[in-house]
Amino acid sequence: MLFFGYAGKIIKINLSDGCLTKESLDESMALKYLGGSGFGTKFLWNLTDKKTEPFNEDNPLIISVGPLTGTGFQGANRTSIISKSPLTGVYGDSSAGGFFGPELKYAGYDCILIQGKSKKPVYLYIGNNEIKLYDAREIWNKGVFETEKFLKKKHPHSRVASIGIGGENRVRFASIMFGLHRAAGRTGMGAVMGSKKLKAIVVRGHGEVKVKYPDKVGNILKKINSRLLNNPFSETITRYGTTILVELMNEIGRFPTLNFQSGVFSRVNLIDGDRIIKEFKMKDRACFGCRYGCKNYINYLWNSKKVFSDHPEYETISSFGGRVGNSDLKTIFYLNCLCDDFGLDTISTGGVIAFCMELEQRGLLDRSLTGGKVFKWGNQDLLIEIVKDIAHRKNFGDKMAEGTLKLSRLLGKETEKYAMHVKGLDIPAQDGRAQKSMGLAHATSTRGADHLKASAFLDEVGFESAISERFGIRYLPEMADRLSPKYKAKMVKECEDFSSIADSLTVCKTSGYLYPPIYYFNDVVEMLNSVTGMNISESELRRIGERIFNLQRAYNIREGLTSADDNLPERFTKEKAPDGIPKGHVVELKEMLKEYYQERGWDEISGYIKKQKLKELNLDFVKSEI
Amino acid sequence: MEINIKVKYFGQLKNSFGIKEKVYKLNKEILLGSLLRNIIEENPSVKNTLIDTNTGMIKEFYSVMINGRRVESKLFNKKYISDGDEVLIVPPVGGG
Repeated sequence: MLFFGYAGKIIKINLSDGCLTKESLDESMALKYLGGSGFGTKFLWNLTDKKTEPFNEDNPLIISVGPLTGTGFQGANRTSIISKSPLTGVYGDSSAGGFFGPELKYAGYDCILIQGKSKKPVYLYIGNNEIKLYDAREIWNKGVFETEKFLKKKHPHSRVASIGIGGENRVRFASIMFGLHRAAGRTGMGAVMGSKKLKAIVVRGHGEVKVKYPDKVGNILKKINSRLLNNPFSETITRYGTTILVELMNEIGRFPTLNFQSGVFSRVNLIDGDRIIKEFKMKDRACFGCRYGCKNYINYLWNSKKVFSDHPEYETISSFGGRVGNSDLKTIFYLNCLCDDFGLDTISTGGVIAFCMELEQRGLLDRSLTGGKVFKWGNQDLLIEIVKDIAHRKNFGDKMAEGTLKLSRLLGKETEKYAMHVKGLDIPAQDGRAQKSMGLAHATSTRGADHLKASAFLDEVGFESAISERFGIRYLPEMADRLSPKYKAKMVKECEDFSSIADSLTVCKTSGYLYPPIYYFNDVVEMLNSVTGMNISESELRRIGERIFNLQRAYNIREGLTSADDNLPERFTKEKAPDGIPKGHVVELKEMLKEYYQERGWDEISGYIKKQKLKELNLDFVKSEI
Repeated sequence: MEINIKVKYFGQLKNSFGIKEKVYKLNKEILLGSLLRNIIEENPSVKNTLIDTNTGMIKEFYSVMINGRRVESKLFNKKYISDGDEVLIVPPVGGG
């Protein structure tokens, strides 16, 4: 491998026959796709086609890290997982923080390509001198917590990525858990892993990441760390993590309530960050190489027993709080732990439950289907029971485990308008009527409704200086105004490209890259060149981000998606926000989308990528397939 | 005529100010900039938290909203606050 920073090796394993090979990483892959989800996107393009079924053995599960992973650069700790999604049927990916990614690199690998299906449950061990499949029958049918304990005992000091009962049972929104509480939650990557009968991946590495210019790396680290720690965001992030958002998002009318019927939850003070920090926080926790440490370790009493865990993130508080009309904080804590142990995405789990609760409210849920269960808003016992049923695919939980879109199709056309998803992925905790950039970003995200594919956070409370530096003062004040659709297409496009870089370097987007808006393309190119010696320009780095995003788009076009799928439920485009600050607003999607396609160089009607754009991005090879 | 303006503090600013919100009773409309200066004078201990000593302006990434709409810092001395308005002062938060 010409470039530093990479381990230079890929593991390819076929679980059907146990065949295992190690291959050198192609330098041109590194130059064109960087790593992480960039590698995953290209491998997925190559290895699948329209006929590939997500649960079939030919659907690969790709696990990948990037060139900065394990170097000590801020937030360079994430691991990307890519596959065709069983929830959406199109491009799927997810990532998680923690310690697994750096450990994989220290073990000597940048990427694991898993194909085939094992006949019996197995887990994969990866060390510097050993890669081996072990029998996992002893831990099959066990939760993530027990699995982690078992594997850590057997392989001391290792890092574990595992699935729970949800993944084993192919719940279409099952997550892969990294350690006990870091979830690669979205798009059902855990279900793909379960379909392959792969219970866990265990890594232990003793190697190092070699960098091209150690002195330069040291100097850049000093400089960027100082910018990070002196930034006024630092204190809040460390103290609260994402829990701080609950109160703020409710204040601006963006906190999904009762399946997005409103953006204001009247009992928000019972579940907000202040309460969590004051009453339950024990200490800060951090992922590998993060100077922020946005995680909080908490303890609480549940059925007279003391429970220790990480705090639920903003998304989870929304999912099991306002979204389902529940204001009992301890129930949210418990549901968060249940989902971690079962390996379920909290966003989609809360999403499908909220969907059923709204159907109940409207008299559209037949109780003969639910086994007599009444999906009443805020019913805490029901929430717990249903999460268990989903994980075990028991009773009506079996139907819910198919995900909101498939369930709505089963329940009838009149239910579809209450299914809050885009491209089959449940909408996360942003009401686009209260923040127009998020409405657009949900529609354009390549993995379905998502806030992180773009991470368009600049207009949340309006970061004027970052907008001015990144786009120019002429875009103010409209770009900073979350209720104005103006210039949001430009912002979302640029943020999507930068997020594609972050996901490919596998750095944490919310550790100073997309939020807080501290580092940008110019900083990242400096980091990347000092580590790898690639010596690429900032404009080339931007082109790489654009290439990765466009290849994901091309993948979805090959699967049959069109501009009609860049859509939102009509609740957001036709129903006016009923209360709070965005009262009266809808998402002006059509207008923003037109502008967005122009920004992207895509056909303004069909949303297809124009030939000229493909050529510009060295993606000519997709032409014959889309 | 007396007017009422509610000022709400967000996040750790609630700790800095020791209160969540305060209603100001004034005898006429007031410029946002003047209100902020009054608040600082009333709470000198929060000056370093809120104000950039180099520019004398509110620190970068802090946001001030009137009725939920952000006000550009350059408009602080042009924007009047009226009876019943809510002013929200938000420290640097976001990201979800």
